[in-house]
Amino acid sequence: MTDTPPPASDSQSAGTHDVDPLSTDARDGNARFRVALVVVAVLIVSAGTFALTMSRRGDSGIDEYVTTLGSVEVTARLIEIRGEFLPNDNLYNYAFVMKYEIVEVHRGQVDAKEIVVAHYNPLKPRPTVADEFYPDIGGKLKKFRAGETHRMALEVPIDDYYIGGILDRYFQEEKGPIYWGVWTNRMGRQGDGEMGRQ
Amino acid sequence: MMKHSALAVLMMPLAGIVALAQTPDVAQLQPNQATSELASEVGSKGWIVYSARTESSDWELFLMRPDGSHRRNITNTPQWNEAAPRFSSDGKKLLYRRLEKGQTISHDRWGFQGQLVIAKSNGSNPVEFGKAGEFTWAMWSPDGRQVSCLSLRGIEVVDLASKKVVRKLPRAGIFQQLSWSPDGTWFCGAANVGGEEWTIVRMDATSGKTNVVSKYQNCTPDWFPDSRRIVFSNRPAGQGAYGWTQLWMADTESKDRQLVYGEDGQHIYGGALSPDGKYVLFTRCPQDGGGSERDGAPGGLMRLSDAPTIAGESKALRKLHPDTKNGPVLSLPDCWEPHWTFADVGDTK
Repeated sequence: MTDTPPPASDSQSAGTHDVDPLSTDARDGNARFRVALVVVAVLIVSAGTFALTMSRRGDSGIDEYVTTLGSVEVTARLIEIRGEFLPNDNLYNYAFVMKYEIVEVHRGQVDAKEIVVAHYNPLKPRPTVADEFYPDIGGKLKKFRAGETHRMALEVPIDDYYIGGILDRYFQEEKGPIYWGVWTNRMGRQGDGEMGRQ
Repeated sequence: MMKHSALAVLMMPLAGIVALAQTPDVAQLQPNQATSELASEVGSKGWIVYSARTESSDWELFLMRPDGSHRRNITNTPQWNEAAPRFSSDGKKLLYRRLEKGQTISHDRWGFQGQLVIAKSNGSNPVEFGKAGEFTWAMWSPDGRQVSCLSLRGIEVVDLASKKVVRKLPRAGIFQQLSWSPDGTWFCGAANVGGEEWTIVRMDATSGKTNVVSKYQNCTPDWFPDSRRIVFSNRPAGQGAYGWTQLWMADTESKDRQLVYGEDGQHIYGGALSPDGKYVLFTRCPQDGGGSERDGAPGGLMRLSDAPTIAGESKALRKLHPDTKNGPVLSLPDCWEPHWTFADVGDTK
């Protein structure tokens, strides 16, 4: 008697007939697709969460400079810019005194509810304000606008840290010491008022 | 007789025209008989030291006679920039600042830049005094044994032999251009006073007490030999747009101020007196700042007895100062922060 080979199984004869959509292979493919979708969704959600977190960090004005420079760190609202700035045309350099309302003191001691802060060459964006004479000042703020809130690293009294022209339009008022603006970040949405460190 | 009278009448306007031609209605900057006479008058009165750019674009120190002759480079250091020289009162020594080549000289903060160097007044034997950024705004004491310095620490008097601080005062708002009076009793400088920057103040060198000499947009004060008056630059308000910087002098006691030299179209800086107080040096720069950030500016020299003198059309300025004398102004080479001694320092190295 001659042994006959057993008939080839379906699997062995694949391609010789239509694929069953409910076959094991198809089910595996679908499962992988669903897993991929879930992974992509998780990634999207994670990225969104990360972006939101970063955005909220920008809102706080926190960075490694504002939290370490100066002897005083505050969150304060710029309540007034009195008068016009003088030009910052790279010919004359000066510090301009502005009035702030304290929101929170993070480091150091500030007893007053309002303080005055002298910012160096106020028309220059903080990321580019440092120069040969004051190399360690800066921040992310692009433009000073009354009403905005800043997180600032400060020094006091100004005469111990800055020697140059000071335009102080509060000189006739009782105002306490003039703080020296070392690092200034805007609090609020990122964008118009913010720039990265250069 | 009648003919002679008529001729006389006809000649009178002509004589007037001739007289007007001999009495110029503007300061005489172009070489003419009056400037030649001024040059002859001052030519042998000592030496002027000044900083100027060379052809290789670095800044060096130069000596020249007050008439602009006998110019020569006394530093010859192409690897450095040298600026802001000052003779000691006896004319034997010179102090100045040495900056890195390529470093821009700040027209109003140069005293904080570079390194203090003290040399013989002909530029020989230069000795570095401290490191870069030290002994800022150094200025000779009357006896040349000390220098006054201005920094965040205040005003410090430093003994040159020991390099030790022998006296210290709060700076009382003074932030640049500290100058020590020839008799040693006063300082003056540009200060923050009453909310306004660039106010000229005088400070008692012992008590530290200050008084305002001139408010609003003043700078580069320098003492007269009498230690009472100062010469300084001032850009007065009310000139329309930006305005022009003029040279003024003031009595530090009475605060009486007087225009020395003005010229619409030029910013006048670098005022420095001759040792006898009869002449004044300055620079004329079409751009504000005095020229240290660029190539300097043409120098000028005039008699103080000709103050106030106004050059150019300067209509508004002339209206403000109808008593102008229109004296001759001797044109000098392009320079920055010149200083004058009567000592004979023109010997070779």
